[in-house]
Parts: sequence; C-alpha cells; structure tokens
Amino acid sequence: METRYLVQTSILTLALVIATIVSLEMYWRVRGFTPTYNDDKVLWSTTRKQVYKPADEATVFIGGSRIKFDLDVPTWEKLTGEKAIQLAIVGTPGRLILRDLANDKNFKGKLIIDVAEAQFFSFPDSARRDRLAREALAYHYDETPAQKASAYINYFLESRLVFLEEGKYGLTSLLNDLKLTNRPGVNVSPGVFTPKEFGVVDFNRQTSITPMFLANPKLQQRQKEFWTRGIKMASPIKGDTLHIFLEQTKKAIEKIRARGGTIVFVRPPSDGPYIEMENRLYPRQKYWDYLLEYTNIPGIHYADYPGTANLICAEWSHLSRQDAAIYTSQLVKILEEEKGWTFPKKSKSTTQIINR
Amino acid sequence: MVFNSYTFIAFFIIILILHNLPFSWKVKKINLLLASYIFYAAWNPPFIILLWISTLIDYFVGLKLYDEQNPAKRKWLLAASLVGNLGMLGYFKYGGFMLENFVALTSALGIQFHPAEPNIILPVGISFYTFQTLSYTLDMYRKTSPPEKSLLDFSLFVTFLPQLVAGPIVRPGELIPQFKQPHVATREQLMKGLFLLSLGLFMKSVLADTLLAASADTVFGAPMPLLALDAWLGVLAFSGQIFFDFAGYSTCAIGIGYCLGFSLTENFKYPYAAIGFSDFWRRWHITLSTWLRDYLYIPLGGNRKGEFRTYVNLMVTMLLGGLWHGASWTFVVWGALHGSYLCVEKLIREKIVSKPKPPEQAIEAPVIVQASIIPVSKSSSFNNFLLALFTFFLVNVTWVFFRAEDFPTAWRLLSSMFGQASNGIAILATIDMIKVTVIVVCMVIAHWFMRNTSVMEVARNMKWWAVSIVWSLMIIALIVSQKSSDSFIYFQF
Repeated sequence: METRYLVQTSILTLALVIATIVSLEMYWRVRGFTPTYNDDKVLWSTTRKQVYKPADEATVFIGGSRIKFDLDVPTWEKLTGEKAIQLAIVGTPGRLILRDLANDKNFKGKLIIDVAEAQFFSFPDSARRDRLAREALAYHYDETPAQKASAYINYFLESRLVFLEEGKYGLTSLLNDLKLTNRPGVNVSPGVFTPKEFGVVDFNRQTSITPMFLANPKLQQRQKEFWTRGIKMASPIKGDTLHIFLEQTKKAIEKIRARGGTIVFVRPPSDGPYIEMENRLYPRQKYWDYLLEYTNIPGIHYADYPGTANLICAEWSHLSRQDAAIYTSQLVKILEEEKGWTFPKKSKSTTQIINR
Repeated sequence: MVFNSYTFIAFFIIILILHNLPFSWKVKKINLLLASYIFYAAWNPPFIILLWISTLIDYFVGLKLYDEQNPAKRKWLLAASLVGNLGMLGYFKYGGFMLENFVALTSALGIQFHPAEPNIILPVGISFYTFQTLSYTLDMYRKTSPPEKSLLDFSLFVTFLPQLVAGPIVRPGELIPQFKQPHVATREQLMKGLFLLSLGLFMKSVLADTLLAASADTVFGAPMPLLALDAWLGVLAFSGQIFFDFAGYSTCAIGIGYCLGFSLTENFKYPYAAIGFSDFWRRWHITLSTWLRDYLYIPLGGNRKGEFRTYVNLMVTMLLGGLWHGASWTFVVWGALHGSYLCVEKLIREKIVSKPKPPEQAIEAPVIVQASIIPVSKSSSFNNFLLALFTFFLVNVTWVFFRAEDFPTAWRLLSSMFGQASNGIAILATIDMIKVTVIVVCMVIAHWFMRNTSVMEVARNMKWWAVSIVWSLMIIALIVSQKSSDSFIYFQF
C-alpha cells in the first residue's frame, strides 16, 4: 500500500464497493425480486422462543414445506385471534422438532403437525432429511448473546435489501446457478434446483409462492420435474422401522398431551401426477390412517373436505398465497366444528367470515 | 462475539471511536479492558469468571514469585498457578475425555462403572488464554522478565480482545510494554489494520466457510467408502478450510490490533510452502510452536541430553501439542504423526544428508525450529517446490485425524484416499470439485511465491489503484458470501 496514496486508496475502495453493491441490488430489483428473510436456523430460533404462549393465545405448526406455504399466517391470526407460530422447516419431516417440543416441559400448547408422506415416513434420523432441523435445534440451544444481537441487525438489513437473502443471492447460490452436470449417483441439495422465483419468506416464517413463479409455466414445469425426481427416489419405511418410528412419535405426543397440550395431524393438498405417485408409494390406509390410529390423534386430510379437496397446487405440491388463505380458513372451520378446538380470543366478526 | 458478524462491526466502530476520543491513556485502557470483557461475555457471560480467576491467580502469584527467594516457596507458588490454570483447563476441556477413558479402562478390567454424563461446556478460547497466562508465570519463575505491577495492564494482557479467544498467543514482553505508552493508530496503521481485517474476514467467510467447508463436511461426514478423488478433494478442502479459518482469525486479530495502534505477533507464514516439518512448524501457528518450544521442549531437555532424549522430547512435545488442540485420541495421533515426521526429518538430516551438525546453541536451536529435510538451495527451486508438495501431501494425511470425528471415519477416509476401499462412491458435486481444486491449487502456488515475503510487503509494492481493486473485490465477495454467523474452528480449542 503506497503510503502517499492512503486517502485515494480508501476512497476508491469505498466507491467500488458501494457502486457494486448498489448495482447488484438494482439488478435483482429490476428482475422483479423483492426483499425477503433468510429462512435459516436464526429465524427459526427467534420463532421457537414464542412457543411458551398460553394455549389460548397461539398454535404451533411443525413439519415441512407444505404447511409453510399452505398456512396463511395472517388469515389464521385474523380468524382465530391467536398467533400462528410457524416452526416447520423446508425439506424436513418435523419429527426432531416434535421430540424437542415433547422434551420441553414448558410447552403445553396447541400443535399442528404437517404430514407429507415422503418426508414424514422417511428413515428416522436420516442425516440428510433431518440436517436442517438438527442445525436449527443446536443453534437454538447454543445461541449466544452476540448471535441474538446479530440476528436483529440481520433482520433489519434483510427486510430492506434484496441481495442479502443468502439462499438465493449468496455466493454459493450464484455458483450453483451454473447448473453443472454431476457424476452419476451424486445427490445435491434440493435448493440447488429450486428457482429463485419460487418463494419468499416473511418474518413470521410463512413462505409464499411469488407472482413471478405463478406467471411462468416454464418454472412451474421445472419444479414439477424436480419433485418427480425426488418422489421417485423416496423409500417408504415399512415393518419394524415404521413401528419404531410410530412408537417414537406416539411417545412424544403423549408427553405433550400429558401436560395438557392438544395435537392434530394435517395432510395439506398436493396435486396432479405427484399425488398419484404419493398415493402409490404411501397408500393412505397403510400410512395416514395407520398413523392416526396408532397415535390416537385426530387428523385432517385435505381430500376428505369439499372446501380443500379441489385446491390446485401450481407445481403439484404447494398452494399459492390466495389458495393458502382459503385452505387456512377451511382448516380453522374444521378444527372448530369437527375437532372441538376453540379460539376464545376470536371476535364475532371472524366467526361470520368463517361461516360464510 | 465473532469477527464475522454485524454485532462485531458495530461493536468495533464504538471501540474505535472511544479509543480516538481525547481521554487519558488510563481511561482508554479501561475502555479496552471493559470492551474485551464484553467481547468475551457475548458468548457465555458466566465464563468470564474463569478469565478473572486466571488473571488474579497469575497476577498475584507473578508478583510473589519474582521476589521470593526461598526455592521451596517458589515451587509452591508455581504449583499454585499451575494447579489453578491447568486445573480449570483440565476440568473444562479434558474432564469428559478423562472420565470416558477411565470408564473404558475399568470396563477393560471387568469393573462396571457407569457415571452420569458430565455435560461440561467448553469455555471459548480457554486453551489460548491459559497458555498466555502460564507463559507469564513461568517467566516470573525463571526471572526472565520483571513482574507487571499494574493490575490493569496485566488484565489487559490476558484479555486484549483481538487475540483473546484464538491467539496469536502473545508473550508478556511483546504486549505489556505496549500498554505503558499511549497507542493510537496512525492513518497508515489504521489503513493497514482495516486492510488486514478485510483480508482475514475474506479468508474466513469467503474461502473457508463459503467455498470449502461444505465439501470437507460432506466428505468427512460420509458414512461409506468414497472414490479416491472425492476423498482427496475432501481432505484438501479441509486443508484449505483450516488454514483460511485460523490464519484468517490471526490476520483479523493483527488487523484489529493495528487499528487500535498495537502490533501483535505474526502467527502464520505461508505454511503450505514449507519444505519439511521443522519448516512447517516455523510457519504454522507460530506462537503455539514457539510456546511449546520454550515452555515444554526446552525444559524437558531439548536437544541437550543426547540423541535419544531429543527424539523422546520431540515426541512428548508434539503429543501434548496434539492434545492441546482437543480432548480426543485422534488429536493425539495427529500430534504423534507430526512428531514422527519431525523425528524422521531430523534423522535424515543428521544421518543421511550428512549436513554438518549445527553447533549446540543451548536453547536457541531446538528441533522444532531447526533446518529442513534438505538444505534449501536457491538454484534448485523446482526440487524445493517438489519437496514442499511432498510436505503438503504428508500434512494432508495428518489432517485426516485432526478432522475425523473418530478413528473408524479416519481409517475409512484413508483407505478411500489410497485406493484401498472397495465400492467407493462419488459424493461431491461438480461445482464443489471445481471450487476445491481451484482454491487449493491457487493457495499452494500463492504460498510458494509468498514464502519469503508478506502481504503488506506485496501491497506496499503495488500501485494504489491495484490495492483498491483487490481490497474492494475482497469486501464485495465478503458481502455477497453472506456467511455471518459461523464460529472459527480454533475457538473450540
């Protein structure tokens, strides 16, 4: 560094950095992207801290991506007068989170568990399926005061700048966009195939399909092909493995119920050839029905209700934001009318909306 | 608090402002001390008590030790400090490990002993600050330097935030004298400091975390045999990751020191350009290797008690050096491998190459810092490069034990690397293979060309606009990589 030019060096460096960052931000915005939150372990942990609200003030949701897309948090909160605590993690079956809540003696609330068969009935504790849940839990219990502070600075910046969403615009993601062909047998993370346009995440961890994705049949087709590849690789658990898993699930559920907690399983919609493959690999009687019977927990299968049976998934697996609002209002209605759930904090006007 | 976080950036700006306000030097030092405690407490507040205990024990023992004439009392004072410091280190770092081995031993003897899980949390950086305070007490015992009278200066020496949790392990004589006079960065020091801070963060966040860590994790986490190519790339990825992570931290620490007007000891000097293992240890974690040399190898007798004892001392030093890194037998094997390499190198140098033996220089030329396998000749640069590559190859073999969770993983990976595994599978994506190859090749070449110079020396000879371009590219990559919360690997040591 030439000592005589220290000021020039620093000014040029600063100018180059600012110019590049501004250009980058403008580039993504011009392409139609909007600021979104990193759907990571930090945001999960921030949400996890809310589970201790009294049962008449909140419901916790766990599972995979379906409930993250299909539950419309504002609709839920408007209709029930209660908070929706979204703890589902994309690509995971929710079983580690269930066990975590079961072992947390202070959790006594209402819990809704999303069952997407290919994830829920995958091999227990599989390193790949449960990795994100494991990391989220480890972070949550080991979070330092400095990390907490950093999280809030992160949220402030992420909600204002598009390029700060690591999963889409980070260096790793940009390199993955090269989409180089892999050697046979090499499995890569699903995130590599998911188009950037697919979803955005709110601070409450709700994920929504973007209008860009809904307007682009090519992207939808790409995502459909990806889901198809994924389901073809699914290996349903059977026999002893299934029984061990169901027993673990039952034990966890009983712990929560013993403390006064309430639990319902939900099977959100899927669509097209994808649901056919799901039904073939995971026949309802052998998996969904058996799960409800074994655990003695009520369930809400989308196909059983006219209000949800005909909802269409743009890429066969997740609902658009508009349909998520419909699905959510139907879910609240079924919970109240059929499953005996009450929402004491809801106003009279919301009752009218639901009954419409 | 980690350097690669938004919290630290905000925190550091406040420190810099406070340090440049017109306060008295004493107030500035108190600010730095409080900032260092906050920096440490931001991980786990209760553990700050350990830091205070370590500081107070060594401060008072140091004062007494230096003046005490009675040899028996001096030994008792030294023992008090050793028990206090090594006791804490032993309990927090090695408690679980010792219990585990005790249970294994009793089980081997047919005694069934099932103690409760110890569940001990390791305080961040305990190995670093324990060694730093120990060096002070040992210096007092040996009367090699006078004791520090000011508790403020001594506390700041133990706690100074840039190097508190992951080194460099600074000696009292290198840092305490700097606290005696007001130190505020000149414009040049500030720029140099910010440049090094950017470089260190780039090494850590971009190269280690974003580009290499995933490949190393994938390969070391694979429960099955791999193709030799994948196994080697995973180990090479870790080789790069650990260097960029640890050297990145040291570079940040030195940069922060400069920003505050202080200079800290260099800890890395292009280790993958080392020709032989004594050369490697002159370049890798320099402050630890010199610490081990001065406070372990030499007191054990160094190379002054005959050939056999020299080898024994060398092995003991490296075994303990391995154990310093972590409470696991895999680290001991890592240390044993390095010790063996050093012994073989010394043997080759003395018996085969017939290089004239250097004169016994008492404590100044212990094995760890002596010459390389073969005398380095300027005219045989290519041969030397090949020797450096051979050294790098052997270093990579040792990293397998350093990174593997357990011995089965290490053996599985080694057999994959050397083509002994049947049914090995491909595991790395093409993009990851390219990332690892490009970075590791560039790293080795850069180390070779930089082996006799330094980053600042190179930057000094560059045009100012070229420095700006390189600097801004590093910052842009840092911002785009967006890895802001991963801890440095060496924190766990």
